Amino acid sequence: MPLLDVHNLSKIYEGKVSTQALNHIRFAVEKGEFVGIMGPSGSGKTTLLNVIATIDEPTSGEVMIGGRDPNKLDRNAKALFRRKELGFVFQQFNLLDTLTAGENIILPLTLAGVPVPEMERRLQEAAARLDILPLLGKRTFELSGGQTQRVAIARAMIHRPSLILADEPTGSLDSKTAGEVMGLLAEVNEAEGATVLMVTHDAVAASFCHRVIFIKDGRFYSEMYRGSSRAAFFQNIIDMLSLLGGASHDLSPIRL
Amino acid sequence: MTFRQFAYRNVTRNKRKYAAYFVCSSFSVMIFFLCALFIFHPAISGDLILSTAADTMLAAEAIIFVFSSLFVLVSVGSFLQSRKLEFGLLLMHGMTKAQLNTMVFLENMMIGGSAILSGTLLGMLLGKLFLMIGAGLLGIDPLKFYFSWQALLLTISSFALLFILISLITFVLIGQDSPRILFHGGTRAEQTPRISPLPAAASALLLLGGYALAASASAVSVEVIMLPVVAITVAGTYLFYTQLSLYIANVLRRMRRFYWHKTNLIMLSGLSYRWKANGRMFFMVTIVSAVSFTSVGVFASIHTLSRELQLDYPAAVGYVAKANQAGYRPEADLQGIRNELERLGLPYETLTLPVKYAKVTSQTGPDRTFLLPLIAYTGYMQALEKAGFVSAEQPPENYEGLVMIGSQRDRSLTESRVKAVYTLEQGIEITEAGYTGHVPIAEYLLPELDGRDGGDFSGMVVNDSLFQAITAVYTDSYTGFYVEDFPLTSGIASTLSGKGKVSYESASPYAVVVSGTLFEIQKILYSTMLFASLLVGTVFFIAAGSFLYFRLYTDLDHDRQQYSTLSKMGLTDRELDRSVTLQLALMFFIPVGIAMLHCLFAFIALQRLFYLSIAAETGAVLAGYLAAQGLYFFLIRGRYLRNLKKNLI
Repeated sequence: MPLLDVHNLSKIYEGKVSTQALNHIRFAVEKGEFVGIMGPSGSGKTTLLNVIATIDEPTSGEVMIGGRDPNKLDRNAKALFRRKELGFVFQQFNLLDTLTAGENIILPLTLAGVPVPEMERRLQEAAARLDILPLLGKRTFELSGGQTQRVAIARAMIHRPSLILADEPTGSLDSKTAGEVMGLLAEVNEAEGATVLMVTHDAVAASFCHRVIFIKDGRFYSEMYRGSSRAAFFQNIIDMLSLLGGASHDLSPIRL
Repeated sequence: MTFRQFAYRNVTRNKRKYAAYFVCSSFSVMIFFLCALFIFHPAISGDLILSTAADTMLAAEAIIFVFSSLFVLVSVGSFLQSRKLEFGLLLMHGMTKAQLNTMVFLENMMIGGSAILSGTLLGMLLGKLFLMIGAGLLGIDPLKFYFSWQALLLTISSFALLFILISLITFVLIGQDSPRILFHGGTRAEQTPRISPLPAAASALLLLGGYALAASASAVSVEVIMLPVVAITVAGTYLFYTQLSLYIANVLRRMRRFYWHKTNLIMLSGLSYRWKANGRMFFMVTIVSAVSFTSVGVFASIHTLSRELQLDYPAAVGYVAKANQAGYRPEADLQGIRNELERLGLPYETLTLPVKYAKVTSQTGPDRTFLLPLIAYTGYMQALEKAGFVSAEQPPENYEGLVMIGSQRDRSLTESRVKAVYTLEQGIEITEAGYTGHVPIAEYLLPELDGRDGGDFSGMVVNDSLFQAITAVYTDSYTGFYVEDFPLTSGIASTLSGKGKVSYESASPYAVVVSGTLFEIQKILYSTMLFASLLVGTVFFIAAGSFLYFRLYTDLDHDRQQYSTLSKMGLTDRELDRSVTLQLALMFFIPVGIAMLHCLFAFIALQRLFYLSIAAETGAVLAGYLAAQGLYFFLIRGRYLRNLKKNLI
């Protein structure tokens, strides 16, 4: 059974002009997979992520995470579901600036009421994995962009969620740091067996995934597996993006 | 869109930001105007006793004005601080510095002008009600509504001046920052104050020391130590907010078992962030509240005053005819008093006692008395009986005497007073053996024995045989008129004394005390002070609330973003509510709590100056404030939570 099963998902935003953001999307993600979602601006990537994250409700269709449909839960249970089963990485990092880096990382564990020694142990583990041990005592405004995103990744994985959702994690980073952060995310996926679903514009970032799903105008367009060579995969993604015909800024200026 | 329209829209489209500031400003203007109406009222300014009330109101006006200036300055300063990003943007688009200044000036004048307008309009609407309440509180006849253009002129001109001056000061506050720096004004790089254990400990020591001094003050020392204790406590409070509280938060943050428990992490870190940013504001709120609590509490104890007067003025009217005054007939005065009492229909009893003055050649102790007033024990007991006091005091031994207390307050001074031995000219030695339990002859009617420590001890009671044996230099005659309900004697003997008393030390051939008139004057004085301090206290209270509102409003966007992240991470609604409520509750009630603690110790010290307990009045005042603060807290909490959850998933 796949960990995440998106089944005939549609989302229509009602309003003066109703827009169909998602149109019968279906795909599945296996446990331990690292999946990217790409598509031109306005293709519905972020809506898809929000619906999966239980932040938005689907108009029809269903999302099964670990065999459960969280959209059937009430508000409170949804929050508890997110707390336990999901980890988030945002483009704007969204660390709490009143906390230190270390406190930001253990936040999901404190909300869950994990005993302090256990928290300490997991914090050391996660920080060692992401190479941020010396940063734990720092405040968020003392960190660089790359460091902040690494802290955010640590926060997203520390409670061992079944699914890590990343929304443009490299969107606010320069290309060198973006590469480092993606390497770390891939390593977390590899070593911890964490399932990652990532929305991105960035072909370089997408080339770290096992598989990339392309959507256009809210519909499933195609998907692509990495195979052995990341460089070839990257080239394929670029080709696909030009085929998709998104806006020019969707194309990475980097050429191999 | 003209430039003026631009400025106008800047204000009107930010209504919510300026709401509390505007409300508080117009409220201050209104109170100021109402006080001015009161002062310029012909029934007040024309009356002899009530004109002192007008002076008190004038003082209240001054306090409101000074406080409003501070309030407006601080508020405008923080508005500017929160708009740095906007200013940077405007400068980038080519606005000149002069234009920016004009814009800010126009905006301030718009808010200020409308505050003046609405304040005076409201004042005119509520003027009659206010005068009624004022008259009721002062216990005088209802005042007719009287619209004085002086009051209007005073209010408008002083507040217009205030707003213009402060708007001009803002030019300095905007400073010469370049757009680049102004852009960074929007980011939240904190200027963390250095927290060290030393100032934190100093704060605790100062506060505890101030409290200990206040609690241990004796009646003698209370006036001396008052100012230092206030200074110590104010310094301690400042350090409490800027150091001690943050130090405590840091210690708590080090206790992981507590700090890393559920929402404590979010709550405590959010709280200490706010605390750092608002420490000085909390300090101001605390001091201002403590001052208003204390003053309202003191002046609310008027009822105590009447009980106290009953004990201190045993006879409703006391009259002493001084001996050896040429061409003076005390009998006429006494008859006049009798006639007046009969005309008022007040049943009365009289008592006449001789007061002997013996010449003293030497005495022990720090003072030097030349003439010692003496009364006989039987006379003393008669005076008590007439006044309705019950006493089981035994006649003093031969050559001993009981020092007469001039008021019940003196009893707290007896411990620190050195008892003296007097050697009279005729060779008799009289030792001070103790103090009388009650006041036989009211203060002012006898010369004071020693005035060094503020006590009003006024002579001695000796046993009858000793009294007989003493040769007096001269003998005065004391007459007391005892009336059941002493406040009714107000206005009696007005030909003898204008304001209720002529003291023995004055040049007139008699001394007189009319307790009813004294009571009336005191009551009006205290009532006006109560009234004024209530008004000022309300202005303070609303200003403190406005500060809190503004701070919360400025942080709202930031908080919204934080809580939206948290709720994505799985913070439930209940956890959010609890965390926010706790943070707000601490922000609302810690300053008020500390102010109450200050006020409590102030009352403990002040209690030495009042013989009777003022606890009940104080309790009522504090409970009232607490209730108002609670109401305000629930109002703001509801609004804040609603705003916070607006864009939440």
